[in-house]
Amino acid sequence: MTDAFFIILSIVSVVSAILVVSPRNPIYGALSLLVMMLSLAGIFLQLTAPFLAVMQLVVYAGAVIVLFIFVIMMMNLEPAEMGEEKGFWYKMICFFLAGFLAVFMTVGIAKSRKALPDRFPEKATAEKVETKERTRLGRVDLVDTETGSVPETFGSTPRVGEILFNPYVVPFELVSVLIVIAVVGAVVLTKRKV
Amino acid sequence: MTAEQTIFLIPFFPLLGFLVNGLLGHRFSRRGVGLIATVLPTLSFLVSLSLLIELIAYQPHGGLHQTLFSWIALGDLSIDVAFRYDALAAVMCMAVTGVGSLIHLYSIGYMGHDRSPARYFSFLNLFMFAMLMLVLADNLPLMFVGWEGVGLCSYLLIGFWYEDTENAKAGKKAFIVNRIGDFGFLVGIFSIFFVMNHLVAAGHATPEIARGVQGMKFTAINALAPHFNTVSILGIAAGATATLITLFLFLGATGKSAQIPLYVWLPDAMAGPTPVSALIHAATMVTSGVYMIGRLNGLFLQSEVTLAVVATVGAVTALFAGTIALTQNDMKRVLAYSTVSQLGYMFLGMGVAAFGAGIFHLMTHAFFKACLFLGAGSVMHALEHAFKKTGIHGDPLNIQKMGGLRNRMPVTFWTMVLATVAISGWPLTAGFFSKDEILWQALARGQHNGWFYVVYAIGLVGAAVTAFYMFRMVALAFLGSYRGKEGVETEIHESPKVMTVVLIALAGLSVVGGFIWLPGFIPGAQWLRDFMGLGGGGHGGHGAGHGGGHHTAAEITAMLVSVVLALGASGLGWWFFTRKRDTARKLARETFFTRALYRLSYNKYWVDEIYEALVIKPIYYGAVAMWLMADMVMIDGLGVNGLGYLVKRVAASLRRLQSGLVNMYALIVLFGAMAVIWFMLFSVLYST
Amino acid sequence: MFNLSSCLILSTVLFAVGVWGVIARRNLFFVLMSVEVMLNAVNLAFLGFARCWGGVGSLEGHRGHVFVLMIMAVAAAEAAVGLAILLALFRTKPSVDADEMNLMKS
Repeated sequence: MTDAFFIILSIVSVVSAILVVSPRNPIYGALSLLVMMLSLAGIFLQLTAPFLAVMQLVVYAGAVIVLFIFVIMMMNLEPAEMGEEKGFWYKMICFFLAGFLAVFMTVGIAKSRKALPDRFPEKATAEKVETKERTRLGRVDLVDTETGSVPETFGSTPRVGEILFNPYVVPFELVSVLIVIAVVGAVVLTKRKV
Repeated sequence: MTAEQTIFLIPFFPLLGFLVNGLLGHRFSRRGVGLIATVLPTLSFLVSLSLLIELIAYQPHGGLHQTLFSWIALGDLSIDVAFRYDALAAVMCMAVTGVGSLIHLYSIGYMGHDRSPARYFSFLNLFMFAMLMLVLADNLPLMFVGWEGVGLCSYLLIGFWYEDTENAKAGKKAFIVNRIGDFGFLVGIFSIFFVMNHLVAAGHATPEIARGVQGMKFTAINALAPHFNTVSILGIAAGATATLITLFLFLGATGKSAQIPLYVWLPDAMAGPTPVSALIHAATMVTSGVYMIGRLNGLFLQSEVTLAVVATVGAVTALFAGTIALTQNDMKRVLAYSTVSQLGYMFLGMGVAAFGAGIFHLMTHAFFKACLFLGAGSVMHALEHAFKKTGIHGDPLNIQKMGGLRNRMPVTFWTMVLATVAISGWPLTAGFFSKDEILWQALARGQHNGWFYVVYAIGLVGAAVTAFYMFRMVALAFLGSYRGKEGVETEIHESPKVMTVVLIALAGLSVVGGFIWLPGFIPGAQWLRDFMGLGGGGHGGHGAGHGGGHHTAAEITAMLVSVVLALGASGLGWWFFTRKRDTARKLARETFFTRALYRLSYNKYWVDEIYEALVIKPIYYGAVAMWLMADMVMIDGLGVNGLGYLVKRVAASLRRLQSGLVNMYALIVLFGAMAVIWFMLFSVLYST
Repeated sequence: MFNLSSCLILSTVLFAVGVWGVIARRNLFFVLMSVEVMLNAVNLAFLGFARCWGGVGSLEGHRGHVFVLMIMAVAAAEAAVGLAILLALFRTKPSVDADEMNLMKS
């Protein structure tokens, strides 16, 4: 079951990615991007990252894509205004370059098959839990090293939040500062009169 | 202050004069500059004299020494600035400072109207300094310093009136030809050093001599000389070592002392002021080569071959230059070639191992040649004055256009006559005694090696030629009636006292200067020879006397022969050019055979032209080729400009990366990223 | 079939598609969107690794997730600023063609 989902979702994501970069009209590209993000959110869910899957939908699909569509529609480009495209041969060369990148990295992955586990660690059920530590959130569920499993709450919001606000609170705050800067910057850049 | 401690004063005084006149001379009056420049060499002369007296009185072994300071101390070398005042040095110093001071005095009058007297006198003093360093040096490198110094001063003074390009070219020629000789000298110095170190290592030297080797002192060189032929240089047979070294040294001597093949600079050097010609190119600098051989006589005695070469070159040069002097019309040129010729006699003397005789002739030659040159200067001075006064132009040195000056310039006339008589070898003059001694030694050596009979014969013919052309010159210049332009004659006057006094002094010395060394058959009258201790012939290096009564008859006969020849040739010269001047002209211009000889002589055998074609032009074109090929093409074209061009091209092609296109930049980033990923992926993979 | 290797291969392919978009399209909108594609591919790779080796403690766990969150935040900011620049450019020179923005050409 999981395999089938994964295959479908991956095909959808690849096809939509291709449809992002190829059309003439940017709106089509933006919409394809949306589809790709949704499919990736699905894969995130399969990877036991529920928090991030939702974040993907809220931030990316919900905000970034919307922003893109806003701007595209605002500019209201005539087909003539959209400009020429690069030459055929140039695009061919780039295709082969990107292809070469994909191929050699795939070869690298293939060669390191032994180092990569052939199955994801299992999700442990409640019975296999072994409590080792107490935190404010209650018991912390550890990986059982003998069975190599991850707890049920892996990737859940509390767990991510716990680490986001304790050891990684500084990057978190900095990122919020960054977002403020980006907002201010965007506003300034688009003012008609400075 | 002991006597030895004053030796340094001899070269120091002229050095002081050079510095004072050179740096501050423009502030002094014309008189002041001349006075300073003349007084200082005179002081040197007095010091020299007092040291000479010291030498005669106490006869210290090896002469007087003074070491000033250590100059080069490097490994095996420990060369000092040190002086040696022995008999040979004493004779030279007296001649140099004595004649030099007189010429300085003369210069005050001669350069009376020159633009830059300070420069002149400072250079002249510098020359004295260098020459005295050369003479007084007790080691070979210091002598070479003086050697180079006199060459420099010669260049500076020949080209003194440098605004005329010809003068500058003459100076350049002198310096460059000298340099060729100096190459030989340097090779000789290096070889001597090499050989001596070998000999010390092989144990032939006492500790004292070993120290001398380190300082390259003449005592050491002469002491080790007999062993030179046991060392082999560069794989060449050991027996030839002394010959090789001395031949190279002799090359240096031919350059400095104007022998074949390097004499060509001396006639051109007449472009300089006449006192310069008198001092440098007659009395002192050109004698350096002779002096060098005298100092290194121990080494030269080790090579029969070289001695024969020296004697032959000397004799041939004497005759060769004499034949050129026969037809020259420029008074100073006649004297220049005469100098070359007389230097040949000195080398002839050195070549037959009569070192003392050679130095004796050096001394007497200084007297009469200086007198002759200064007399020529006096004539020049008077004629130039006359030309300026009358506004008529002429050549102040062309003897064909002179004549009758006997009555207008009597002092000059009589002093020149006396000097001419001396150079021609008239009996009882200084020139007679010295030249005769050399010829007699050559003849005596003929018993030893038949070749020297030939050398003697050449020398004898040369003596006749000398007398002939000298009397020709005097006759054409002073006798008869004036043959120059109209109206000039009345303005010709005798030269000022300051010049004539010197002429009289030198003429006097030319006459009486010979009595310090009378011919060998008069026993006990060879004071100079015994004093110098250089012997006259035979294999005695130091201190060998020359006795033997059975040579007396031969010596007297030889002397009579040369007297007859001298008087005869003189008379012939006088007669030809006073009574039979037309015949002379006819012989020169019309008769075919003699005309050919005349042209050969007048054009100096075209030697300068031959050198130009065979040596100078190939070198010049070779240099041009090198310039074009190596410099222009390789270094400029390929190297400098080529690099620039290459950089430009590479930069132009690299510039296209800066296209301003975002996609292009992203592509390049991609390349970089791929390279990094490749590296990380595959090197890590292969290492696991 | 669904394992780390296949996740990584998917990530690689998506990344390559994004790369092609960046270097081979002149329309700047597509360039920005291709950048988003690349960033998403990378997020996928991070999450794959985090699932296998991410850890679970309160100090060292879930690091991959945090990183992905950071990437998302930065990508959003970058998209905003990028589009703002695009707008400003469009106002100056009414074009969204990357090849016409060549004032930096040497």
